[in-house]
Amino acid sequence: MNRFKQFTSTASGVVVLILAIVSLNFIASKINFRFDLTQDKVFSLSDGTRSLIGKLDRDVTIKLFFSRSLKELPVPVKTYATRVEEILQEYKAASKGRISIEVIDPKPDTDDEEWAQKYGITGVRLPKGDQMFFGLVFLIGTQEMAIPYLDPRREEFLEYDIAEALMSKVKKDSVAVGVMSSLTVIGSPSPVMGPQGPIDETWAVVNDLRRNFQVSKVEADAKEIPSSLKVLIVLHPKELPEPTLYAIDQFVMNGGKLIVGVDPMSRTDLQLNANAQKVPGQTPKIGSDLEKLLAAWDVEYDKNVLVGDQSLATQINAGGQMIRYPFFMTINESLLSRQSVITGKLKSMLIAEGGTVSHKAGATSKFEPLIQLSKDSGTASAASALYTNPIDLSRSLKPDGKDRYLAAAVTGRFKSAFSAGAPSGVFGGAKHKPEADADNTVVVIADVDLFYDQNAVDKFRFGPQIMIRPRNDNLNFLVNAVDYLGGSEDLIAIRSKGRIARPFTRVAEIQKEAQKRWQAEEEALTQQINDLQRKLNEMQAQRTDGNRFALNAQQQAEISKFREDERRVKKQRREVRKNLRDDIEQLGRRLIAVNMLFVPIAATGLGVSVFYRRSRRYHLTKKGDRK
Amino acid sequence: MENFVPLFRREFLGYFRSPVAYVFIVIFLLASVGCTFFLGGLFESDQASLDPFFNYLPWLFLVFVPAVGMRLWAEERRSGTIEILFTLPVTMTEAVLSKFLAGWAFLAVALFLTFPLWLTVNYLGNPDNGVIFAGYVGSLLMAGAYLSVSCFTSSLSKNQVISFVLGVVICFVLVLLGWGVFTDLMASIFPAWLIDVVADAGFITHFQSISRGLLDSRDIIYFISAITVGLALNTMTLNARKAS
Repeated sequence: MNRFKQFTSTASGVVVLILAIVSLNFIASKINFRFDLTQDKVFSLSDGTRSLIGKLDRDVTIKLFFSRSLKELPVPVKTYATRVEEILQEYKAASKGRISIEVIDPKPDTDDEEWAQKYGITGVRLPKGDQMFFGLVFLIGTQEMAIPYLDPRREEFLEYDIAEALMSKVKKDSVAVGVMSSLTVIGSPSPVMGPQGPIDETWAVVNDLRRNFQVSKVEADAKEIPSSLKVLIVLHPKELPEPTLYAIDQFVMNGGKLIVGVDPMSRTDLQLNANAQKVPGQTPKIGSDLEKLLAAWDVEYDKNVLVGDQSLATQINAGGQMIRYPFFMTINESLLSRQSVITGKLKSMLIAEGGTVSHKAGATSKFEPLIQLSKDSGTASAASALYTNPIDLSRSLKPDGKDRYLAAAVTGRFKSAFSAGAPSGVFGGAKHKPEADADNTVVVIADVDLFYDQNAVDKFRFGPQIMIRPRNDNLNFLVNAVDYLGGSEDLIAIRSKGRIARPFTRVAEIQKEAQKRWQAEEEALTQQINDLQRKLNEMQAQRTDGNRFALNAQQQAEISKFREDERRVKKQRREVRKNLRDDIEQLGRRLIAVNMLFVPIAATGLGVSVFYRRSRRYHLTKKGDRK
Repeated sequence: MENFVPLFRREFLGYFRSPVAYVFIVIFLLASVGCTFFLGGLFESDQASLDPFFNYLPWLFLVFVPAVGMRLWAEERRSGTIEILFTLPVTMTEAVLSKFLAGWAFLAVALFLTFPLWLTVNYLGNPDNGVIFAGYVGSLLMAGAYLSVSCFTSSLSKNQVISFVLGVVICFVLVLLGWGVFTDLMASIFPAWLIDVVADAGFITHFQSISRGLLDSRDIIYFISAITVGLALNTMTLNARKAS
């Protein structure tokens, strides 16, 4: 009887406990407090977002479509959906009633599912054939806007994506952007056909711009720039005809904002236009310039000069071998101007073989550097770079301690580059304007490849969707520049938020040091090898006709001595090259050893000493007992 | 609760009086550093973060925490000292709590001793120390949850080995619950709401949520609940034993 009582009390105890815990967790799931411990406050609404929400002038309904009742949902997606709901609630709380939220679970064959599809939410097929919807729809007045799929891998950008969607409708009407390029930046004139129709070659950068502005294409030989455009982006202008140059010139004279990307050597150009570039006997023309226009804006840029930076060198794959290549430059915060709204919040950019811009001496305009290089920068010739192997090209780069800039914003009351009026070939149109009425700003960046997808974004395939995730701030640079020139700085504060790579700075330093230390020695050895080879050749050439095949003993001995020397020096060089990597490998080994041994040895030592003392005490008490 | 402090001290210091504690700490450190560098590839990752360490921690704890907890009650029962403990003027709650907290404090010491890893990433680059701090908080909470389960299994048997194996098995199930592969498997048998509840009961889901750098009240309450459940079951088994 007693046992039975015992059992029932225990069992009821367990039941009560479990009920209490379940209800506690249920209540906890309704109210939650969160402490965002990340340095960049990745999980909290930023001030930029709050001020944006404050500026909303109409009611907004946000619908979250999420197939929560599906059985085989991946756990990360579920967790992320909860996060999305929470952040939406925060938007709602911050909007003081402007924003309302609806959460919809579109079950198969229901009206909800039909609506999801109507709104443009992408159904993703799960492995067992179920269709999962997970997207957002924004109803702003009579307009609607959708985020077709919320990818958990974009979590850090969620806040921005929502803010952007909220703002885009309002902004799209206001800022018109034109894109002119010799590359497929905004689609190709003759699209390549894929198995499912024409393949869209538009770069991610243009799609990014489209989310923010009203973007249109301007042909590379346009004779006129539409005056409706507020901002014109010119990427990789190659030998533009005079009337086009004149049109750009007059666009700027009339107060149009301009962003120019020029490049001394664009591998993207080479890659995309492989066939057109392969003219036998001709060097591919992959450089670009705006010549006299840049000069009119007080910008100096040399199409033949390629710039590199030893301390910003980035790891690339050069024919199967990983090397640090100083012409691919990882630009960190310290080299991105903190004063400019364009770069002030950017964290990291990747420049892929660019050139430099500088201010014309004695010019009265204001030159604001946006991207700077370190003191370890140097230059190479763009023409020879294409034919030089990356390893040799890296070695040939000599830092000279000069200040160099990759991008700048120039502000001033510019004069037309066409002082004599419109060039021949331009008929009619507006009246020639020799000088601007007011200050204008032109942003110039001396690289184009950085905006190409390969250098700017990672792509993932998720069912039929391709998800894009920025790898650095390259695209943000352009979007910020348009934002800045187009007069809307609202989103800049949020855009650059997100988790950015935090590489081992120490390793990069060591690599730089090692390169400095061994480079001289390596070059000396290479020189020695070349000398030896030259001498060998000379000796063999000295043989007179009479004894072409017979070398005397002395000559033979000398040649074999040279060969021996050559072998020895080559071996030395191999070792030096190995040393370049050695320091880093050694650091790795040392760190593992310290981590593995330091505390364990200390703990063992402590343990042993405790036992030694205890056993002594034990023996002493034993002795005491015997006495 | 006046007996709590001396009981806690006895238990906590008790760890350091046996060589097992030192062996345990040394093996734990070797294993965690080994996982971080060799399996997690910390140095090759070129990223100043302790993610490689925290990713392996739930699996390391799976073995190490039951090893710490197995002795707590099983040893007392085997040697018969549990009878003496119960004749002392000590409440059951005091006894259970002091043993649990002593074990938890010992785990905190072991976790703290991984600090060279933190120094290493700070030496190599500029990690987000807020995220690392959150990772340690999450680890500590998770260790507590594992330990409360181990306390419970320790009270079930006189044999430490049996209580260890039981602890590992239960913790393993709790780890699996939040694991994608496992929930996929369950999806074919159970309704979605049940899977939701079950997946939410897993350790990893909540641990990962915290170790991203976000201290969420729900995750903290989850771990505290898990600890409470373990300790309550522990108390109940002991009460049942005492009565019989």
